[in-house]
Amino acid sequence: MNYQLKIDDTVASLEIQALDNCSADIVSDSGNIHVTYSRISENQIYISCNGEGRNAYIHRSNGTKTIIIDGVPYYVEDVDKLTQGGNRKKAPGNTPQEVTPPMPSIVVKVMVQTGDEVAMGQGLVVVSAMKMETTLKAPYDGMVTGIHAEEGGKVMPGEILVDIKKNEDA
Amino acid sequence: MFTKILIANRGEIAVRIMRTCREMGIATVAVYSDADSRSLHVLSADQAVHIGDAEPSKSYLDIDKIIDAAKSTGAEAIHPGYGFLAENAVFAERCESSGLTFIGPPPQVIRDLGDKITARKIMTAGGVPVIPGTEEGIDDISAVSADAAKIGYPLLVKAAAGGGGKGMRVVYDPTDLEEACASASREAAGAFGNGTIFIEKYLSPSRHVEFQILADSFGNVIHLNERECSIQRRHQKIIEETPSPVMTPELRQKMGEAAVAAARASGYVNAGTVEFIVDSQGTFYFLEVNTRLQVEHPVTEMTTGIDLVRYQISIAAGEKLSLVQKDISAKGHAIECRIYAEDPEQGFFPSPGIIHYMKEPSGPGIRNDCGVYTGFPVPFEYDPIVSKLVVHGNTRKDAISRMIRALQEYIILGIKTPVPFLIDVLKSEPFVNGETYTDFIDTHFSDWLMDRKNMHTAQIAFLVDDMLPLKKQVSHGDGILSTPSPWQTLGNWRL
Repeated sequence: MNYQLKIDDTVASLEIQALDNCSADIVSDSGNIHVTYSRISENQIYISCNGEGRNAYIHRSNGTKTIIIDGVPYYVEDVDKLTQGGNRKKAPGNTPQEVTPPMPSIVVKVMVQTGDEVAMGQGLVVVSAMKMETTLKAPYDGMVTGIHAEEGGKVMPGEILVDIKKNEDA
Repeated sequence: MFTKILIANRGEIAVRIMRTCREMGIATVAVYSDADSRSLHVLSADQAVHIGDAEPSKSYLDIDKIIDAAKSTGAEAIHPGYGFLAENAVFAERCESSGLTFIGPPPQVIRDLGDKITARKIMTAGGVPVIPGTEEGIDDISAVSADAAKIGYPLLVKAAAGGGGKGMRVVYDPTDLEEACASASREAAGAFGNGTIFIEKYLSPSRHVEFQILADSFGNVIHLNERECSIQRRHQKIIEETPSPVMTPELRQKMGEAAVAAARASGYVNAGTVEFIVDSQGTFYFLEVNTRLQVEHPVTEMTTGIDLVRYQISIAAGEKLSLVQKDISAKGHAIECRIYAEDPEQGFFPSPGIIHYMKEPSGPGIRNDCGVYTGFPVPFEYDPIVSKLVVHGNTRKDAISRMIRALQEYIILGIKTPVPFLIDVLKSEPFVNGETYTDFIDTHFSDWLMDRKNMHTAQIAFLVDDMLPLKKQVSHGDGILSTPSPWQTLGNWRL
């Protein structure tokens, strides 16, 4: 079986050939490796690569697997499944196009009013989660057409807190 | 001695206090909010009382509800832990007036030391060296520049109340002073309800070194050596250790005496911590007193073998301190790493969520004070501390290797943690060399990237995980065995 696996920005092509229920040959750009393995639990597998043993701890979520090895997590995506299933997350670094909290939060301060002209990057709402404050900023230049947050209120990711009508000439 | 204590806190610290209570034969009462009905501190207590909404002001900070919970369960004393009401003089007074013992210093001591300006005056009078700065709070921001020039730049603008880095600004340039004072004052007013600020000389590079003290109500005061807590992000400690890499027997003697003098000058009773700044010349200055149990108290317990919570309780019960200074001898080296639910790749931003799987490290010299478990949803309303991993070794070098090993064994799936970051800090040359100054992370780790050396193994693990079926019908508790053991097939029989 052939896989395209993505970790951070690196995509690697790997071919796995199972030999029996506890060993396989793996072919990739890094060379050929013989691995033996066993499942210890739903979240743990033991792998021995060319004789070197390692425990990998795995959590699966929407086609992405979080795999911890020696305390360090790797977020591994199956590129083929992502393009089919449409599970691809927003590329990191893209400015969010919506004013929504990154996690369940409490609104600390609303800094704009309906009708205000706002510039891209301008602070709109301050939210607090786990004693830390973060400012949600305007994704583009425009006019505030609606506010769906009040100070002290609880808000969830996905809830749009401020509607902004984008400036056409921007 | 008390027969029942209410712990007015949550998470790992509440669990830790309950453990000592259990060892002392004292019954425990937990309090919990809507967000914490399944929290480990609730599961660890003999009794638990629901006290309200997840919002801290409606539960863990609601003095009336906590006093009522203590009265209705027949608790005789309240341990406040750290954070929440731990340094609230009004709460300590309410405990007293309700006939409950507050396990901590007297209310007036909390009040005096909670105000950094008052604390500085007490220390100056007690002969404890303080950082050069303004003696009084600043009333007129526009008139501050003369004082500032006298002290010399760079300066630190500080709030008289509170802590945790709020209401604090470093000023390098006199033209920035007025604005820094105004914004620090605004922030302090918002966070602590008190906008009073003062200015101090900003000492850099410097180390944060603190002394643990114990004082009874008969005037006996001892110190239990130092902890160094210089590794901080956002003015919050993340790695603490004892002994400090900078400590010499002579400096420890001098600083220990200053810590005891600080406790005496303030009329201190119970466990407390005197914080100092040590500059690059090895000169030390009083910073503040924390009138409570510290987050990082376990490193002291590991090296001295003393259970600080046990002493807090016995002092509060009116017992005389059974230790004198010469009884205190610290052995080996201890390090603590704070494990928060936070993302080290995104500026340590909180990362709450459900812990899908967790495996705690174990083995020689390891202690993990933990407040969570597999399946527990880490709430977003509170401080995101998950656990404190503490190790003890014969030498600093041994303790570092042990901590790296323990961190590599620590598996938490479902939330992000700083474990990979901490491993890299502990492995780094400046840390190993003891070059631990408060600007350590900014200086050495501002452009940190996650270690990717096992990327290929992770790719292989992904494939292998796809190859191996997930056993859905695990019936015998042990999912590994594919063929049943004789013990499982034997059926019913008797000898």
